[in-house]
Amino acid sequence: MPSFLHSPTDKTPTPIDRIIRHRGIVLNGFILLLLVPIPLAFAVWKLAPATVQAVLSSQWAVSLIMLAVSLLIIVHMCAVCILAERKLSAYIQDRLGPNRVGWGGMLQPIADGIKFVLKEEVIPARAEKAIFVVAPCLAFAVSLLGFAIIPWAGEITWPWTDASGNPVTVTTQVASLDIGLLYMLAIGSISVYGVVLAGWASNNKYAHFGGMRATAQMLSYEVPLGLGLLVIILSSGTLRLEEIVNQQATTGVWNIMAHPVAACLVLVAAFAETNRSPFDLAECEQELIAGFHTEYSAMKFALFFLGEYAHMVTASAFLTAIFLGGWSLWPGYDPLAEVHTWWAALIKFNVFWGKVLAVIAFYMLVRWTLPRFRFDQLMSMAWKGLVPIGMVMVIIALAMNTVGLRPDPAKGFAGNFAYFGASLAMNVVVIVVTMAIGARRPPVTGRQPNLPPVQA
Amino acid sequence: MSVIEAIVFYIFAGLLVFSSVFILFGRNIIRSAMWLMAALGAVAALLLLLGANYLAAVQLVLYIGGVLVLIVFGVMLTAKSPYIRYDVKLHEQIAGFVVGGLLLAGLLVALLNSPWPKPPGVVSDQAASVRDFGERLLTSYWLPFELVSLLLLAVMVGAAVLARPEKR
Amino acid sequence: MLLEAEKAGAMPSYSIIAFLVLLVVGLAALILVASHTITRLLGLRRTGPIKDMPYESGVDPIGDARSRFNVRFYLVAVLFLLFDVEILFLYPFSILYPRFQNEAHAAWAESLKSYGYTPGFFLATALIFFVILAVGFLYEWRKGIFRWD
Repeated sequence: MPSFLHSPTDKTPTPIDRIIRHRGIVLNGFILLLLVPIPLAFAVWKLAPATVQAVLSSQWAVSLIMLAVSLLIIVHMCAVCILAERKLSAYIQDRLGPNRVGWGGMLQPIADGIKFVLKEEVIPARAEKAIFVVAPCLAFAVSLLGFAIIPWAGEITWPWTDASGNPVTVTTQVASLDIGLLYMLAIGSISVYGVVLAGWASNNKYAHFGGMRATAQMLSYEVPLGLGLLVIILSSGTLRLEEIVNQQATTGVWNIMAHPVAACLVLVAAFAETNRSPFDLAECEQELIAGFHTEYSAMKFALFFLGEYAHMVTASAFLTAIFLGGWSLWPGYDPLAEVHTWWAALIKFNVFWGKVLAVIAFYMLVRWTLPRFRFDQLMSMAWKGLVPIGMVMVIIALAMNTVGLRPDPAKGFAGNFAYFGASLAMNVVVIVVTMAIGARRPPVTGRQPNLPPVQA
Repeated sequence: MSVIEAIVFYIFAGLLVFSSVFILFGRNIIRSAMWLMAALGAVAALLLLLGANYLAAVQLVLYIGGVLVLIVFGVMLTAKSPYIRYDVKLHEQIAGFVVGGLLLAGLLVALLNSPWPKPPGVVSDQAASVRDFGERLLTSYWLPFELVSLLLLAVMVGAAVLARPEKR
Repeated sequence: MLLEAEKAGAMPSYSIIAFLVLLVVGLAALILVASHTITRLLGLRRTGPIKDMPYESGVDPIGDARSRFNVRFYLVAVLFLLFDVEILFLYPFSILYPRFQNEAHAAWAESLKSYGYTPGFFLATALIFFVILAVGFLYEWRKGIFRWD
């Protein structure tokens, strides 16, 4: 056990501890969770194979199953992320973090949930009551919509055939939209409302300012997000997420390798859209208490909190699918790219979630490492930094397309090497030029140039 | 038109009418803006039912994500009283009815006099929607496409002039 | 029409999104209502003029919170709208233009070329659109619209 999971010796057991230390509860939980479902599934498979085959052959049924599975994973991931973030921040700051409830603090999210339900709900006087109640629901609901178009594990070809003897193929995506990436942008622009309405309805000056800031920030960073995605669409020629992932798997060129600048644009925009540090100006404690959710308590606050983490998980999944090759094992040659068996799909599913976890870990490390931006820095970074870079990248992508340098899924990594090399070279040139321009300007400090020098 | 589709159409059309009525008769401007959000969302759903999914996405991104934020900001900028309410005077109501009636008459004339092309049976390839839109936009309608950019330029200049930061 | 297409094709698309929207909104409403009743039943509930006051770091609030704010927030929304329109108009182009390089769509490219719409025409149309807006962007920059100080 790493040292930051250690419990202190003076630990007094909590009520939850007493429950989970009970041997019967531990054993029964183990039996219920692991030993019952697998034999049960096997028994159903043995007793009614025709029914199971019919269900699994229907794309609708598979979509609904994937919807349930991914929704459950995301909601549970929120709880795990909250705990992981608290542990990670404690580790970074040389603290212990939550370590009382359960094994080394593992059940802290459950205790948090119980606490949220038992807290008193306070609605401040003269708050706009209806909007005050609707805003957290909106934030939570919108953050759980995005995952539907993510291709979790590619296609599955079942080992059986249908009535006419053809192989049965289903995809593990919940919904395949031809406006794929536009759907993602639409979800992003609707998620503004939860924040702005919460800030406005609270009748609190801090909440109001936090809401305004968050709105301006989300709107500003949607522009570089759109430009970065435009670069990817120009190179892949489709808006469908599954085609973008397939193309990365078959060519062996992940988009982050060929378009690192676009990846950075979208990554930064994703940080800003999810209101995570270093872009959490909407809720910076030193200036605005808690920003737009200052007046929220109990479950309404929990909805905001869950929504933020769900948004983070979804954004990480999008980044994985668009830039990190989705379910593709590794760049170069992917041995599973053309394998569509059910076990390959299981491996791909796990690979996808592994990448998502890596991106989430990156999110958390950034949050606890970097200081927060100031608001004018934030705005000038969006409009004077990211938007011009994005425009240049779009022009470069246009030029590459015009001379015929684009990924060809029919060829492997070697056949796409010219495209990969040229794209990477152009990106490196842009990075070098940008850094050169940035180095010529005076460093950004907290000092305003028109203020008198500090007296010693 | 299948039965399910008809049901879905009437649900969203009903939502559109319902929320529009609330926009009209609401006394609180921000709540009216929220009903406007529902109305715009219903329009997006109706566009989806027609198979115009690119337009539906544009409706969501631009109208709900952009125009409505502008309206909300505009209301917050101008409203002074704690409870943003407004009372409509009689002559304003009359003027509103006259303008609305003229608009309705114009729309009805246009609706009744224009030929309505029959939709082509089943949309087999849904991906055709965005592609068709792009093809029309960049071939037959390339001139309007360029004029849109000039219009946007004019709006940019206008915004820059109107909200110029104060001189120091 | 769209529903028929979904029936014809194997892949559900917007109908399952509609289902998801209903599910998620229902979930949020359920959480809210359930927690509200549980809190009422289990927890204490004390209100008063002092407790219901907005929390502004312990200072009694002065005036109304929904005061006027800087017009620049409004300007950011206008700029976002402008650039979003630009980007959205370029999306259809950006899925069409790579097709000219794709052998699978050679017939499509030939048919367009026979009407006089070559890849060069497409590129020129999009570039003019893009450059006009880039000029607008530079004008705004020179005017100091992006300066927040």
